[in-house]
Amino acid sequence: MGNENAPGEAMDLDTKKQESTGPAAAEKAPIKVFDLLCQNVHLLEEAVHAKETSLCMGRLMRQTSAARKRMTEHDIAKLLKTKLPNSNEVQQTLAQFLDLTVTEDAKIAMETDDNKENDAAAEAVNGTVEGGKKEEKTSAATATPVHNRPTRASAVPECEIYVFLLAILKLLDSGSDEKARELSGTVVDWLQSFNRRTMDSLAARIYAYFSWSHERCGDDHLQGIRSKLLTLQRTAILRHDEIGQETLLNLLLHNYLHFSLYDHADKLRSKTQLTSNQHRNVHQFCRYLFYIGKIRAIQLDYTESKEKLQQALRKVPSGAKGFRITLHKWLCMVHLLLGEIPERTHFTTPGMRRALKPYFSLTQAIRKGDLKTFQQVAQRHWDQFMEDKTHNLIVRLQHNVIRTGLRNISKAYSRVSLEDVSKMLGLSGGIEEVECIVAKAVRDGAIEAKIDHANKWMTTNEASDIYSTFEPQQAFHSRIMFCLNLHNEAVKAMRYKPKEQKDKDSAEEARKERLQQEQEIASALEEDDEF
Amino acid sequence: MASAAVAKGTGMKKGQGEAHATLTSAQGLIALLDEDDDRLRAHALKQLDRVVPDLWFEVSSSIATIEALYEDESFTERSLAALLASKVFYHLGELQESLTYALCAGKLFDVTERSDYVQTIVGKCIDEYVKRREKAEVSGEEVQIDSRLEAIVQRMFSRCLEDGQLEQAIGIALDSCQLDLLRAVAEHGQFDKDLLTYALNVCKNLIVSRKFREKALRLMVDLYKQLPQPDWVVISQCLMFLDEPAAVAEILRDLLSKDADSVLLAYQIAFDLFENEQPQFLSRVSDFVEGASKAVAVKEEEGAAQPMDADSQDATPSGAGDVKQEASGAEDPSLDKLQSILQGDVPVKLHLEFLHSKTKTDYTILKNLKASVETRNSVCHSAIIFANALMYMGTTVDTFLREHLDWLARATNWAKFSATAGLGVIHRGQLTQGQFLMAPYLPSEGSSGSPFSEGGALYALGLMHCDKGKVIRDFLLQSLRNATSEVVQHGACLGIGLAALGTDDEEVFEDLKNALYTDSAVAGEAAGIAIGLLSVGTGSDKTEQMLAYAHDTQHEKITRGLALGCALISYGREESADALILQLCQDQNPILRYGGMFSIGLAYSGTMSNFAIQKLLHFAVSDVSDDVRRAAVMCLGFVMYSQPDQCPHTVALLSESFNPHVRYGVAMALGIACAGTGMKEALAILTVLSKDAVDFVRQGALIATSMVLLQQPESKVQPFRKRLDKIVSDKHEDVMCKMGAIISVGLIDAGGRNVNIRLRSRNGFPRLLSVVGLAVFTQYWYWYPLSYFLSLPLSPAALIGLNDKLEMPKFDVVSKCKPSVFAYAQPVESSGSILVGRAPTAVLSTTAKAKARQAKKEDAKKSSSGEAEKMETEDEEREKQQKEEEKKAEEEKKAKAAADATEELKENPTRVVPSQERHMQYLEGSRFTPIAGGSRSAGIVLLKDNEPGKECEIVSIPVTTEAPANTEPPPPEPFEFNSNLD
Repeated sequence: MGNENAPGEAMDLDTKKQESTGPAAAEKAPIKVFDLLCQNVHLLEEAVHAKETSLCMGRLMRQTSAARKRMTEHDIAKLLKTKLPNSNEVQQTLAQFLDLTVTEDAKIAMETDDNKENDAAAEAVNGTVEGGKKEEKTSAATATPVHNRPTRASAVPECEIYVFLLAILKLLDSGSDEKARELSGTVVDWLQSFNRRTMDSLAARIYAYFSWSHERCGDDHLQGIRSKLLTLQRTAILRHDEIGQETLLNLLLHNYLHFSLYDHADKLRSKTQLTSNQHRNVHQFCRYLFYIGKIRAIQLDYTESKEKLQQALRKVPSGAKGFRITLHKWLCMVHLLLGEIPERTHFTTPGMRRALKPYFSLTQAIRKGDLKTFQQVAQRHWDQFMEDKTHNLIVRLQHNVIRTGLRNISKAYSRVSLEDVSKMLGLSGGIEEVECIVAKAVRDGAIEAKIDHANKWMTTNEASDIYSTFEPQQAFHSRIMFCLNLHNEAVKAMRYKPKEQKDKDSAEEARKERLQQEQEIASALEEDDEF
Repeated sequence: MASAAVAKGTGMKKGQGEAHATLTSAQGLIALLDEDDDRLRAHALKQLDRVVPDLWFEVSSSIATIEALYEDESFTERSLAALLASKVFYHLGELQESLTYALCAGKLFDVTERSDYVQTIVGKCIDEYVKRREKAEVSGEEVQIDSRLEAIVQRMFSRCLEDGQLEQAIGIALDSCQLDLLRAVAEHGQFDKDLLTYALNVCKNLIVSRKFREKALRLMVDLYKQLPQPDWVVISQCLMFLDEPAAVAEILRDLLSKDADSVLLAYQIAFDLFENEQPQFLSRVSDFVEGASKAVAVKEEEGAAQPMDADSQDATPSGAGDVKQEASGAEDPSLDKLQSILQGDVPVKLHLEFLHSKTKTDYTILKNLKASVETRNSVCHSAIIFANALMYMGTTVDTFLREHLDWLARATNWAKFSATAGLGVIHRGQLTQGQFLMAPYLPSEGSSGSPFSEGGALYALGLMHCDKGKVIRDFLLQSLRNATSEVVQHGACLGIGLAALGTDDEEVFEDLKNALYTDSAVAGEAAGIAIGLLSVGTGSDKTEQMLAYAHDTQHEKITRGLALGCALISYGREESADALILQLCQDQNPILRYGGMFSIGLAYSGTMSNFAIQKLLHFAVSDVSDDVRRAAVMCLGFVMYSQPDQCPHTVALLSESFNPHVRYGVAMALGIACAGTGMKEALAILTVLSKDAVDFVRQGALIATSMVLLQQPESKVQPFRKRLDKIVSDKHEDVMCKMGAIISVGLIDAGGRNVNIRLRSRNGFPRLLSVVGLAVFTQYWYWYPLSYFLSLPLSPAALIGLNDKLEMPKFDVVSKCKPSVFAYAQPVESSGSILVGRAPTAVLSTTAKAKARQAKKEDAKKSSSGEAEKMETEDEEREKQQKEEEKKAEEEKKAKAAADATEELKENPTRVVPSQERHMQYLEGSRFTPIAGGSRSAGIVLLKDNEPGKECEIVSIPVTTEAPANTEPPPPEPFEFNSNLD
């Protein structure tokens, strides 16, 4: 599960986040795993009771990922025993995949483990932790007593699914992909029997792991689930399950793109209408934008592609490193294809330098307009490009390299023979080919030059004052547009904070203030009376 | 590039083609559709139909070709094309188009298939059908319905029947307005009782159109009658809704002529009908019963062919009363008893006896109230008098007033009017002695008392005789005619309006109109409301005259009275009141729009009608007048009280409005809709509102909270009591809010802690009197005396068992619950609440030392002399504390014993609060068993005597007109005053 293996790995953004901070968090091991899981179940239970699971999902998954590394099969078994004593069917299903026997030894071992962890916990709480983590801990400390109570009946199905999710995670982490694949298949079938809106968010996670486990088992399996995903998506649309729709659409797009079926992906995307126009889940929206960006890049629509990729880059959660790298790679390609040179800071971001190295050298080659270097770089990193699926675009870049070279030449010489041009650019073809290339460059506006066909040379026009043209205006306009768009998106992304709490506070405060004022007036009056 | 990608994809597919046998692209098949050969095209269609779930997005781009194939008459596989088109549209989310093509596909569209596609389309199909049928039903004209559509619905319907999903079948039948289908279901289910109950509930609660609801209920009555043992109770309730007194009378007479059990059942039905508070309907039933019996008597006597039956059918209620007396000599006693129930004499008497005997009001609370409020403030003063009236409502206990005559005398002018009216509330239900009781205040010839007390007394008579005012009608009418002062007119108008509630009496109307046309603001307002009360729920055309005058007059008060009157007249009329509602709501005068809001609220009361809610919400946020907005929100409560759990989240957003009037409206709406439910969500909103910055919002929230908390377990109410106590004793609290708190204190302990607000009867029908009472009560905003209307919706929360002689036998029921849960509140320690607020006096160290010295001395003295002559206050207190502690310890012991018990025996009659009802059980093997099934655990219950011959003890409760002596606190212990203190 290397971070470099981006497209597939970017599947679950939350996990990514955990992994990036993973080692540090694991060492500190603040709370014992079982407690953490119990607390998660409790959280879920409350959310189901309040009929609003989508809001707590982020927290739930964050806490789950905190426990994920240290979680054992026994933890899951114990959770199942204490929280869901009546779910025999779940136990039977799980027993085929996991070792569910909780032996006494294991229990004791766990207890001692727990004690150790508890000792560590005290320090950890005081340690420097990020906001999200801190919140978890404090809530964990308060929510301990609810542990040993079984789940209330209304939330049982959700908790069952949650246990399944844990099991799948465990199987994936321990490398038993086949088992994970089978189990996720079973769970997806199991999910079909429910029609509960409180389950949507959990179900969406399950779908994601369903697809991911199939992908890890090989292309055959991934292709095999396509029809299943389509059915699931249809069901989600009919049931107004928004998070399900978004997730499944992304999974399908991923599926098609994995097999380079760009046309299919685009058609599916354009024909699918989401129930609400806005994406609910920022993670899913981010991936959706990424897929569109990819499709557009392949379809030669670089401008839109750049726009979408940039938008995705802006929305990507800070923890999802692998996904961010992939985005950078694609964005870099699109920039280059548009004839722009990406900024150097793109490549120097800490932690990405190594991963982006091939693209950096590529950019350098293009900047120089040196076709030979370019070809060398492309040759050297070809495997990497193949893996990134950017090799198609690399081929297209060759043209850009030549053009940049031409521009450099036109700047240096006021008149130069085509033969020299051919040499300087390292083109292998004859004069005619060079002539064609130059003619095309002139027509596209890349260089301002004339070709003297009789003498076979190229005359560069006097560089006119660029400020007398509309160019600056256009550049300025595009920047303003960019800023305005950014602003609009920011406004759209704004959310009101939960109102009730605020209102209560303010009402209470206002009342206190009023009372105080009245008392002041009253005392003032009394004083008046005295005099 | 794209096509290259596709080509690559297909290439890849070939490797795995055998494994999955699916196509990666449908392009090839789509291309086949353009071929000329039909066979090729048909083949392509077939293949496409197979792959469409996976590749619909590809197929969808050539949907036009497929549609064209269907249009092509010469093409043989047209229906296949239609099916394919339907599926593609389904995937595109265009369900309407999909349905159209599915219908075109004919047999190829297989409704028995268990796929998402078929189920969705069939669902859509039923929706569509229902929509069209409803349209046809509402507009009354034939709407052409696609026969294919109908066929599919019919198939689904018969499948429901075959699978035994009869409830779903009932749903389809009622939704699509097809009563013959409903009958078919009932027949299929062999008139299963549970099934019919389900159908009845659906009919009552879910059918929007009143016209169709009536039709459906009529059918339900028919169906119920076909049961081997018809449930007469349910049938008569339905008939009441259908307004068919003759049929009810027939049922009652039938039952009377059968065995003893049936007679009991007839009584039970009569009591149930009484509980629904439809005075007009009851008197007509009573007339019909009388008429029929008369007719029988006439036939038997043969010769005496008086046209009596024709007379009595049209007779006014008073006329019927006469007839009854004549007839009673000849007729059997059971008929007499039935009549006395129907005319309200027996139930009113029973309620009076119950409230009188079980009153648990805490006298100290009132005393504390009186002590903690400044006497100069007339608003709080009259609020306390009102609170007193509520607390002792119907109990006939007026000790408080008698003991504080001086204090009472501070009420002048209109406050005096209200105070006198309060007596009517306290003595509510004293039908026979009312006039005697009020005699000192009533206008009499010769002596001229204060017009305010005279007017108040007339109003009091109205409150006392509310809707059973036959006896008092003439007197009140006479008083109205004789009145010269507008204050007396005001009282007389309200009095006669209440007494003749719902009778639509022409003579009274004429007199009220005369009072109205004097164009005196005070009298005119009352006359307007009184006309409304007189014709409440009749939807008569008096509204035209009223509106005309409302436009003419210069007085806002009169306009408001008339607007409210119009609203009252439209009570329960639903669609038929729409014209009036429209007229009122579009008026330029905000006061008339205000009336319009109330007419929406009352006309659609308890219907949960979307139309009404929509309209009210619209006015609540868009009207320019604060009054109208307030009324609009408030009336949401009236529309929604049948499903109180819907109300809180509907008004939650409005409760955050910037406009305090809207917030006040929210509070009242919650109070009205959730009265007596103790619903958590409602209380949460009300708690926020009761801390509002604006005083009148807090007032409304407090009153509403006490309405919601009525008859809730004490553990829930206790914190609220404490808060009220704090508000009342807080010196800096606003007067408005204080007034609300005082009223709440009265309301929460109303009727000796034995009454509740119920806007729906146990059978789920709206109760006219309660709704009207609350609607007029909310007018206290403008006119405090109208607050006394709050006594109308308060009805006893009691279980009263009766035997065949309509007496209360000694009889026990079990409450399967800890007794402490539903116990009455503990009495308040005297003057405790006042002391709480006071800061402790600072004690100087020197004084403390001196005192300590003194105490030592005294102790020494005491021990030497053995007497406690020189008691210092401190010692006294100490002793008191000790005593209290002992008392407490004793109580605790008792409480512990009680806490251990998990059930409790309750003697007939007893208080049963709503949340307690499901814990009540009848003892097995007891001598008395309820006639109408054991599930009925509150209200008046007729009991069957299983050991008839045996003698039985009767509970007797004499209700005296004098204040009972035992409620007076005992005189203080004799003590010696000793001035010999150091």
